[in-house]
Amino acid sequence: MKMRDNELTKLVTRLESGGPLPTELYRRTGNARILGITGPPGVGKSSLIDRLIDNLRRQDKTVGVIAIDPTSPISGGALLGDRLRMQRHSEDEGVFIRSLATRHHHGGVTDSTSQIVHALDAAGFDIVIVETVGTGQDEVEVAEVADTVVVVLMPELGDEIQRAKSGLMEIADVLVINKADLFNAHAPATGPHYSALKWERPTIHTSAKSGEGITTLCGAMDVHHAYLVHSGKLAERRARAVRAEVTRLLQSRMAASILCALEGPQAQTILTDVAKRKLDPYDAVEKLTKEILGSQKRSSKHAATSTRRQTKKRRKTRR
Amino acid sequence: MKRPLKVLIAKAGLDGHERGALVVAMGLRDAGMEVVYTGIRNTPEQIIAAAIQEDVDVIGLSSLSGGHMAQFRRVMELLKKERVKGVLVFAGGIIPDDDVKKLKKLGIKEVFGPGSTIAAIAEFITKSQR
Amino acid sequence: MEFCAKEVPGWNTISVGGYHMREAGCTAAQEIAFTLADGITYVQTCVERGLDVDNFAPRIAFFFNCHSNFFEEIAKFRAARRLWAHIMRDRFGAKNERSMMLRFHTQTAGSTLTAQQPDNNVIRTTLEALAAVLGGTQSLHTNAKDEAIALPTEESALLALRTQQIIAYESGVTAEPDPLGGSPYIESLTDQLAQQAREYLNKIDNMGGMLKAIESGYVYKEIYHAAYEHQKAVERKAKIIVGVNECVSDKALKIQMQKIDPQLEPRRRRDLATLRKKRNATKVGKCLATLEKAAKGTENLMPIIVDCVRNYVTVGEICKVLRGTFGEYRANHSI
Ligand SMILES: Nc1nc2c(ncn2[C@@H]2O[C@H](COP(=O)(O)OP(=O)(O)O)[C@@H](O)[C@H]2O)c(=O)[nH]1
Ligand SMILES: [Mg+2]
Repeated sequence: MKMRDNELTKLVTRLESGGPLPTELYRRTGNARILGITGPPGVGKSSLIDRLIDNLRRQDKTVGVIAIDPTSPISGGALLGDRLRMQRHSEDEGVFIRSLATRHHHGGVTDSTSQIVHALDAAGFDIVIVETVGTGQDEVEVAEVADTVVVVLMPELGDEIQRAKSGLMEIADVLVINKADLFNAHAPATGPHYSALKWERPTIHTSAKSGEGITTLCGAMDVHHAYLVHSGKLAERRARAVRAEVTRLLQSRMAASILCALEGPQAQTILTDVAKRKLDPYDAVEKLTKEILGSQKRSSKHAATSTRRQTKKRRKTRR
Repeated sequence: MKRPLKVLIAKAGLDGHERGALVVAMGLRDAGMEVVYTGIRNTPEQIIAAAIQEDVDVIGLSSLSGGHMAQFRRVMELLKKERVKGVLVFAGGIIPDDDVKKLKKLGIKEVFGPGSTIAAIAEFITKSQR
Repeated sequence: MEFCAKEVPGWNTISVGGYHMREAGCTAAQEIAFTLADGITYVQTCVERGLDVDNFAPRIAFFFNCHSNFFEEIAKFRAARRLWAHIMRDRFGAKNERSMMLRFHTQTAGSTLTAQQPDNNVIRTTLEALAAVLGGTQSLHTNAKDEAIALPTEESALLALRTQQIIAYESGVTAEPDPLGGSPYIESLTDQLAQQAREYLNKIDNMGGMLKAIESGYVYKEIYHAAYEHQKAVERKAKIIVGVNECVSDKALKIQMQKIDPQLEPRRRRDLATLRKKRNATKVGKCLATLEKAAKGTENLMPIIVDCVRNYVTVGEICKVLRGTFGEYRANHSI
């Protein structure tokens, strides 16, 4: 059993609760290949990941998994059941599995998924796999995190799932039709044609139950990676990912500032003036924007120094 | 925002009686906790590895087949060996009174026998961990 | 079943079980449906292998639970019998009346026993056993009062046995196979349960049969949702369990408990080691190799297994080979 997990796990918990990723850890990221696995619930995403881990471990690659399940809108609790299917890898030194609840974040992943991917990347995992919730067609955020997006479906899906499919298809780099064993849709003996020069999305039949098609799937993901590297698309994707991540962080920071500013005495006066028809709402927004940007400057300086202090205190995680 | 309590529910050893563990897992979810369920036939090593990687606050162990002493003892030993701190461990199932005493000595905080309610289990966890 | 139809025609080949699902938490209607759906799968498999339905079906038996709701349980057995007869006649074209008969063993419900006030369990078991007999069971297992706590002692097991002997010999309820038939209440309960079970069976058919329903996680989910609903009902006292959520007494009742002799395990290990030393290792190796080869094909394994056992191959060794070939079931939890 691996001791190093003790530190990584605590870091993940801090990130999950909105804490920042230490700068020196961020500098060490960029080496892992990030795979996103998405698709409707019950198609076998977790079971496939269990098989992928097998395959990757045989190639001596280390694997970090982030498996996301929905938070119950009523109780705020969650039943995290993905790990169950991968539990046999728990003890493997080269595998780290973490289940996360969405905590009401929409988009198929959690607020902190990019940060946690960074943490696993910095910790030295060769492959980081993100399993999304799989409930709706708006779950496309995984494409902003992953290098390769695998969309998993199964034959004979009902109407509802067909609808969800259409949104997902746009982000699929590899399409998997799982549960081939149940529907006698046996995988063709040779995999689909694909080349590292021009990417045509392959459709691969798999069975997480029998293991059929898993090698083909791994092969397709490797070729897709090669394609990304050769075509320069990898850099493009990662630039897009950075932009998306910074945008998200910026938005949440701004949202927090807005809420904070609206509590202040200045805002109260402005709002009262609008109510009394002394100001119109647009003027109010002008004034408040100035107010917010002013306080933003002050607080961000403060935040930056305190983060640096924290970072120093934190010991380096693995490697 | 403080995160919800995170609980690992697992069954150790050769014991397929899963009803209680599942009902507790569902109940704790509905009590607002994040529950990682790892099902039947876990080795103590797997349970501890999962508890570490998931960074849980609580581990709930279930046994109805009589293997609790051997299995739970090993879980508690590993917990120490791996220097996992601050994790509350409780157990449930068919466990004779004499063994309950022994398990408590090993560091298992509470043992919930037949007839226990989810409400009582949830309250126990919340009180102990907050 | 194929082997027995030829070689041991008087043997009851299979006991199609529903007991475990009911213990795991499913409802009476689900118990009927899931058990019969299993039965359908067995019959279907045999028919597909080329067996004549009337050749093996008369030897199929069932194994049900008997839970605490007295009339519902009686109606459950009646509904199951009716449904099975129709399934055998209409779906499988059975001609022999015996193929349509649902013969069954019953065990009283272990999950209704309480660790609190264990003496009360004698009453529970008596009522459940009576319901099973009134429902027409062919054979019966009565649980002992201490089974919510441990394996039974000799004394408690004897009391459980006497319970059914009193029902059998003294009560007179065995005089008539279906004594409550014709009672409007029982008949309407029977109709209701049959209808509910039929709906489940249709759903399972639409999923492509019981194997697919199990593998998709559907059956598992249904069972555990029912178990959770039961627990919630008990906690809000919509269901009363005497001694647990009502009529509780503070007095801790001490009862004598069966303790398993710790020497049992080492003794068994020694016996097994001796057996392994004494048997003919070459023959054992050969038997297992033959079994493995046959398991990969479509040949009937029974004669080969019998041969294995004759040469002192252990059940563990046999199962290991079969697991290696067929794989192992991993429950599909989709909660
Ligand atoms: N027959 C069959 N069942 C599968 C296969 N893959 C997954 N399953 C089952 O489908 C259910 C859902 O699987 P899971 O991996 O949890 O799906 P997820 O919700 O997409 O993560 C489980 O009961 C699995 O055992 C497969 O290839 N064949
Ligand atoms: Mg999953």
